[in-house]
Amino acid sequence: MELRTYLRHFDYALLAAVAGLVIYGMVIIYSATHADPDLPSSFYYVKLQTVAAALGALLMAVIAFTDYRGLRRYRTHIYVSVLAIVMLVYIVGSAAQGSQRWINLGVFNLQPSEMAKIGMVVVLAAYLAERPRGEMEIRTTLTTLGYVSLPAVLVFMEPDFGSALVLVAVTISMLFLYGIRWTHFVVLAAAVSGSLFLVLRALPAVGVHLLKQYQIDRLLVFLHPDHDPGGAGYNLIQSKIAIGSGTMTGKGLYQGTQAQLNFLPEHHTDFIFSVLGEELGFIGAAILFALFMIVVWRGIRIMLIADNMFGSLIAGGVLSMLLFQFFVNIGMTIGIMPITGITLPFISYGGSSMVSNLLAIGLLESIHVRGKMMGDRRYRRAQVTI
Amino acid sequence: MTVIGNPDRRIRWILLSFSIFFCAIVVRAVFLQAVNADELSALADAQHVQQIELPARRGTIYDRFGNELAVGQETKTIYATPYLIDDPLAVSQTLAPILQMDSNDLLATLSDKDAGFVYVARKVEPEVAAAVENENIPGLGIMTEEKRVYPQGSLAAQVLGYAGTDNQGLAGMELEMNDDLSGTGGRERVITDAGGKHIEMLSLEEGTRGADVWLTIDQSLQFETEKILTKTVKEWNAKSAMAIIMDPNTGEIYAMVNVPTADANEFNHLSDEARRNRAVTDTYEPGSVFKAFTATAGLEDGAIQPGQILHLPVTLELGERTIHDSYDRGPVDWDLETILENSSNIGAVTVAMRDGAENLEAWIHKLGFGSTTGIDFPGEAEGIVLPLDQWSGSTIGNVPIGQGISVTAIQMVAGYATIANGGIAVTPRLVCRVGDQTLQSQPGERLISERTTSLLRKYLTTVVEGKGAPLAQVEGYTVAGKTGTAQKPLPDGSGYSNENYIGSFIGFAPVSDPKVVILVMVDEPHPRGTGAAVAAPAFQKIAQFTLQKMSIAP
Repeated sequence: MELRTYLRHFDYALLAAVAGLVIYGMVIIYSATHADPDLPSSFYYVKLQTVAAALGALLMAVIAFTDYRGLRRYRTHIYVSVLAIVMLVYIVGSAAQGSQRWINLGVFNLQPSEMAKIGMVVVLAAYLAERPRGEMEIRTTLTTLGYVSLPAVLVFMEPDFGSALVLVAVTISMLFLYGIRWTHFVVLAAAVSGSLFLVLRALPAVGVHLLKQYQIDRLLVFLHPDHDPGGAGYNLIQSKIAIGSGTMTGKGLYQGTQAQLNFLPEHHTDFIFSVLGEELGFIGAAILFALFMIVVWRGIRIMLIADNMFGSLIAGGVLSMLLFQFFVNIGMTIGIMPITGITLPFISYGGSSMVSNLLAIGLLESIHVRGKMMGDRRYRRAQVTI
Repeated sequence: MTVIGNPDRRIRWILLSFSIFFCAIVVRAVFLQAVNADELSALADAQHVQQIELPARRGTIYDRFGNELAVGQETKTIYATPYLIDDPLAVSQTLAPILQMDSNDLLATLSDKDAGFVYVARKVEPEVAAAVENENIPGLGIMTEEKRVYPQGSLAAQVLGYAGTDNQGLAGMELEMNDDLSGTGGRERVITDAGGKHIEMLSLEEGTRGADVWLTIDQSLQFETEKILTKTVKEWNAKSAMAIIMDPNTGEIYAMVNVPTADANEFNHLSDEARRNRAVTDTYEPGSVFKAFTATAGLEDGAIQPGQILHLPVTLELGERTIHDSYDRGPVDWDLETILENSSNIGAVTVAMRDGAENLEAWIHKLGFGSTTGIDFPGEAEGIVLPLDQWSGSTIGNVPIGQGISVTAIQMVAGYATIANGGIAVTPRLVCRVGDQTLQSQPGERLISERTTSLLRKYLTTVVEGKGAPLAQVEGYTVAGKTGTAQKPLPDGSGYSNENYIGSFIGFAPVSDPKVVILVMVDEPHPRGTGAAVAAPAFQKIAQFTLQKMSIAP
């Protein structure tokens, strides 16, 4: 296929919105970290993030120009790789803040859970696309859950509650889009709520701790942030103060007192939106929302353009993965969602997340290009027939 | 997309939930950034803008010649912001050996997470603060505070009083002159980071240092007097002693001594008893020194004339009381001068009776007893003068000889000063200068006629030069004065002790133009001694030193 055809069918709006998000993120990361005296240079994090973005962009381009449909054949390989890489954390992982999430690759710390998310989107899309709809639906639902439960539990045990949550959310969205019965969906939603209640409240009460206490405190503190203002509630209170004091127009880039003076914790990762809200105000936040809406709009369009169920489901999975993280992360900074440690896609500092998110955009582009070309062909065929 | 059934509807559901979440986020963002913005901005400011009160430096207290008596010394105070301290246990264990404090106490202080500011150690040496700073513990801060130091140690400690940890005067001149000494504090607004570190100063409002205060005290007279009295107390195994040296014309007090002395730097560890400037705050029954005022009343009212002879029996019956003199004698015919020289109780009571209780009582009040002298010192006692309507038949036998009346040492000095200066009321004072302003004595009203005071000066000279108090004589000078030997009232009020006496002497010199009035009072000398035996020799030493030091011509 000609390069020109590819380029003609590329989704430039999506590309531009994602590029805008990545650059926007770099600016905020720079603002949040440039004054840190412990860093070797004020561009330390920005440089690392740039390397990750460049690597991600390269992979995105490769995936975009590759026919994603070929991935269907490799779904078992991908699934095994996902499991392997997630298990590898337990063997060679490096610990940070009480959990093992990273594999040290020398220059890079690889976070396998990020890779697992996108891998599982492809695996599940491939599986679901093969299932005949309307028959043995219950088996489809259960098998899908079976597929995802293995990596999800492994990630959960790291413990990386946030990534496990993303895996579950993405799976449910994909099942929903695939078209499982509403009854399945309702039962599933109830089961997820029930198990959350078990993990957070019922089991700790009888002495079984699947989550560490600090995680439970963090998760539930958004309900009563003032209960423990010096402890679990601190991050949330600081985040709300930072965002609120930014008002409509913000305090100006690099001028956010709460972020610059370190009142705001984890300000280049989990709470980067708070920095943005403080320094650029509601207007800055609205620009971020607008960029994300473009991504959502293009993503839904790609679901519809996709020339097959596999592509449509991948697009749906990628979209729900990005949206879920977007809502949970921003929701946590403004106090309407639990603090789960989920980062803001394309904005938060984090190499693995950046690479896998860009890779996911590459898949969307590939689906877009194929869908468009199919559309062209169909269009041409129609012309011939006439 | 009929190929894959119809997921369009499902996409619509996704779109719907997306819209709900999105709206929730936007509404919440508007809520925080518009509706709650002011409140949250104020919280942000409260966090990173810290207002630091800069305590004013306290003025120095000098003696009349500019010798430092109380000065502010720069020290360091260590404070903490407890919620910034991650591991109070470790921090308390690190600090305990440096600060030489108990680590459990420190832990309790540092664990109070609700407090935004706590003192860890106040006014420590700069080296200690530097050692703490080296530990580089987030949440700890160091500020400069002033500590009050009294470089002369015990010198005039009860007069100076002390200033507490927060540099507020709590007793003595430190309390009296607190408004002048305090100055006004400044404040500094700084931006701090989450670790409490100061990043930037926003504004600085400098305070003003407190005014310096010069006392009328002469350091060398004070020192010498303390030395002499300490020796007297030791020699006589006395409970305590006090002395006052005052200029009878201006009321300026050159020395005000309470022995045992107290270390001014350890004031807050002392008993209330040891802290008190008893010369002003405590009362006692003066005894025979008071007879000078009985004589004043008699002369002024014409109850007795100079040279007029009174017949004095061996004893005098008054109500249920029998008055004796303190020595055995037969009936005598004495004039007032001889009565004073012999310190005759019967003589003094006879003079008083001739004058009448009402007149005597009026003179006692006029001469300042029963009310404060107005000395610039806090907590001055008024003493107790029995009101006339409560006088019993025997009161006229007590009061004229200094019993049944309680006075302060400063009242006695002020009374004798009036006799010494020719009859003018004197307000004793301890401050001669505040900042740039030199304080002048206000001319007092005339209390006693010139004639009476010159007679009294002559009589009191006879007391010292005759047989009254020969030990008070100072070589080369003429000295006037009167002794007093008073039994102390029993604590239960049932009468007077036979064991515990107060021996005192008040005198002035040189008689021709008195420059100093000096009171010496020795409380409970053992074996019991008269004022002439106990207090007069101390007076002599003090007067000699004072007159020479002040280069007063004989």
